Amino acid sequence: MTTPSIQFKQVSKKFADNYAVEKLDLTIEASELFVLVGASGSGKTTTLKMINRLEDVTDGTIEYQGKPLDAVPLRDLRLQMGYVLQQIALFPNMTVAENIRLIPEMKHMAPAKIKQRVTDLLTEVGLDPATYATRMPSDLSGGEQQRVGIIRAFAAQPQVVLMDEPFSALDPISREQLQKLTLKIHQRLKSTIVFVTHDMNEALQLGDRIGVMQNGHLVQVGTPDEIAQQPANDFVSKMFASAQTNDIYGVYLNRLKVLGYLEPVTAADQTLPAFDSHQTIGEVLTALQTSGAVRINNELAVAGKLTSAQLLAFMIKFQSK
Amino acid sequence: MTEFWQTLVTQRSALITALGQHLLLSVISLAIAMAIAIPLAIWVIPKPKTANVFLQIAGVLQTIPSLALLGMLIPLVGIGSVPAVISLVVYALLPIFQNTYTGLTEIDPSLEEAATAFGMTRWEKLRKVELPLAFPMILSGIRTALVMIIGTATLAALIGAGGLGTFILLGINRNNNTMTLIGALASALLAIILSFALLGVKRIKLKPFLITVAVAVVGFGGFGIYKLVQPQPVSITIAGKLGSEPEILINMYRDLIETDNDNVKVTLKPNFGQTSFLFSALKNNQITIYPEFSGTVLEGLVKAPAKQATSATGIYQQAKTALQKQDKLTYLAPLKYNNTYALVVKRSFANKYDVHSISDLAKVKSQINAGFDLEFLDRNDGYKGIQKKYGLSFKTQSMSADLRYEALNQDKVNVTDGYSTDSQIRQYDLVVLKDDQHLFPTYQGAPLMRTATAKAHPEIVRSLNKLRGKISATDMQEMNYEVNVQRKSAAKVAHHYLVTHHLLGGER
Repeated sequence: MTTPSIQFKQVSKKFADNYAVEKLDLTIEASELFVLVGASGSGKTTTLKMINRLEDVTDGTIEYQGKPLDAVPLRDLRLQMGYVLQQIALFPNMTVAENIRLIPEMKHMAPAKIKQRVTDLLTEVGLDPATYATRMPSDLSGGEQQRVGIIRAFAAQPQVVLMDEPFSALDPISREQLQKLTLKIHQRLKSTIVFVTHDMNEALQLGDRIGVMQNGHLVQVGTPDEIAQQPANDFVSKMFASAQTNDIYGVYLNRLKVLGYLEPVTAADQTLPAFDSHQTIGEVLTALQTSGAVRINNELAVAGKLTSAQLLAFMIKFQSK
Repeated sequence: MTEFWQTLVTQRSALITALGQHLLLSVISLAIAMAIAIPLAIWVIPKPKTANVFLQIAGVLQTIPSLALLGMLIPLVGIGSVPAVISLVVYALLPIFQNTYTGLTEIDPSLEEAATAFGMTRWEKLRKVELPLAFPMILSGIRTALVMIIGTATLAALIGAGGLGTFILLGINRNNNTMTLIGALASALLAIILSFALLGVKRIKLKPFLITVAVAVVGFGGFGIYKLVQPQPVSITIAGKLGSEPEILINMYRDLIETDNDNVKVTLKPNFGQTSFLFSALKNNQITIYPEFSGTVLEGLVKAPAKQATSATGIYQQAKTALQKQDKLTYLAPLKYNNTYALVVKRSFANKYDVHSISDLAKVKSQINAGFDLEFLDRNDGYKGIQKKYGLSFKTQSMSADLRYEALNQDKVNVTDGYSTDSQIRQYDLVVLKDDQHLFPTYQGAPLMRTATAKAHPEIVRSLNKLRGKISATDMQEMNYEVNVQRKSAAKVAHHYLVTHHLLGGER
């Protein structure tokens, strides 16, 4: 068991006379993508901002890699934690490349290495470095800007990346693309990600584990599966139900794995068409028609086999809810 | 229009000098104001209450009339460029401070949050994010300040700091609208050109701008130091009061000194200011020589002797002795002419009533309508003295010094006061009434310098003493006329006199 990345111990935060967060206990493991979900005013953003000390705790302690937060010099702490904002907040006086270079430069990385990384990251998120590196943020669409916002946060390969409702201001198509991108980058870099959203659907698609917040309290922490199977209270089940009304063909294959619809892959399955776990049900339908089953890969490992029968079972259950 | 071009041509070197002074004064003041206001605004960003207090103070400072501010500074820092720069800085503070503060506080809070979350220190945030974003706003504050400075800097001429205001003041003083116009136009043009230049700066980035400013400041400083350090031949500064007469005299001084002494470099500061400014500048060694009148010396510059002499020589000797004793100043040989108060009438009036002296006025007492300068009306050696010594009193009205000759010429008045060397006497062909009871004090002009300088440079003293007993009142009237009315340059008029009177070169 590795040291947990972030641990909240009886943490409270009071603004004036009101508790935004009260007696919160939470452990976030290293390399985990942890999603905090809740309505506005539930204390999820406050909880996030206490991690990089944009807000200080009123009571209790937060530990980072086993040490209290205030034992780490503030600048060191923040340089180890990427940050992505809902407002994106690219610096309008700098080009795209300058925005990305900012934190690596503050960490005194070698200029050649920084340059290489900027090119690689831009390519990875589908923005051609030759045209985008020298553009100003104002020349980019909202979705493009937030791509840059994400790679700015990851550029110096931080231990932790904090993401505060990063996609809620974007159009649905950009949102979906960026969710996939987040999963891809997380799998490659293995940073701990704490992701805040009010959208349960987004939480279910992204989270290794999900924490549901209500009125400053953490009402349930669990895997998407656990949240789906055993909601802790009415509020959680309502939130979950609201997430289900979406188009079934847009559900990620990852969800099928989480919910237990994938079967183990045998040697005989090596010839089956392969799909990534970040693709949707809609994208595998044609392949299923011809082969009867497909392999689902998690970037680094084989996740499992999806058969037509299992998919049908999921779709029947989904519709019946 | 032709007059405009003529003046421009004859005054071009003076204009260039004034432009240079004006520009230097403005740029230095602007740089100092920036160096104060910008860091101050940055410092108070986290303290809105203090910022408010500063804004109020800067606002109040700006409401002080510029003339009053200059006046208040004179007893504290004297005259010349220092008080001028101080008051210009005071005026420039508000727009720069206000715009810097506003520019920095109006930055999108999410950008501030991002910068903080990335672990930037206060200085890093300022340098990388806040200042570049506030830059256009700060720049527009600097532009406002610059335009104000250039306008206000015309007042610097009042306290001997030079600049384009010299032209405006001279124009008013000599009733020469063309010169006033040139001064005003030049300062307006300067403001417009520099303002546009700054507008161009907006398009370039912060870093190259700061580098340019730094290079310019270092350059100016380096040039200044070079000028100070480089081995110099004897360099002296001769200043004069406002008006054509002192300017003609100091041009003569320069010609005489430079012709006789190859190693001496003379800088002229014509229209340097009023008597008290020049006197203190001389004592503080800011200027080397200036022409002063014996009467003026006894009247205000030294402790008045118990019993004042009446003869011209007596007055000169008393002044010379007192200056030496009190301030260690040397008063060189006096000129011939006596520049004093005079009562002036039209030639037609003099002939009609046969009036040639002040006593003669008694004959036409009832018909006199005199226009006097306020000061003359109130002085014991003015109208009050006329009432007492001549037993004369007649109808008077006060009018400004600039207007009285015009009023006399147009028969609005028939007697006026003036100075015996005024160019208008020559211009309008007027008659100076003889002061037969010796009411008016004798004002003989002579170069005044520090005794230390006189001892160190006997060659300069020798050159200047060549003017002993030269220049009659009529000569001076004529020369003033040429400068004031015919718009000839003072340097040419002075040179012409010296040449025609064989004062230049070896002859003694």
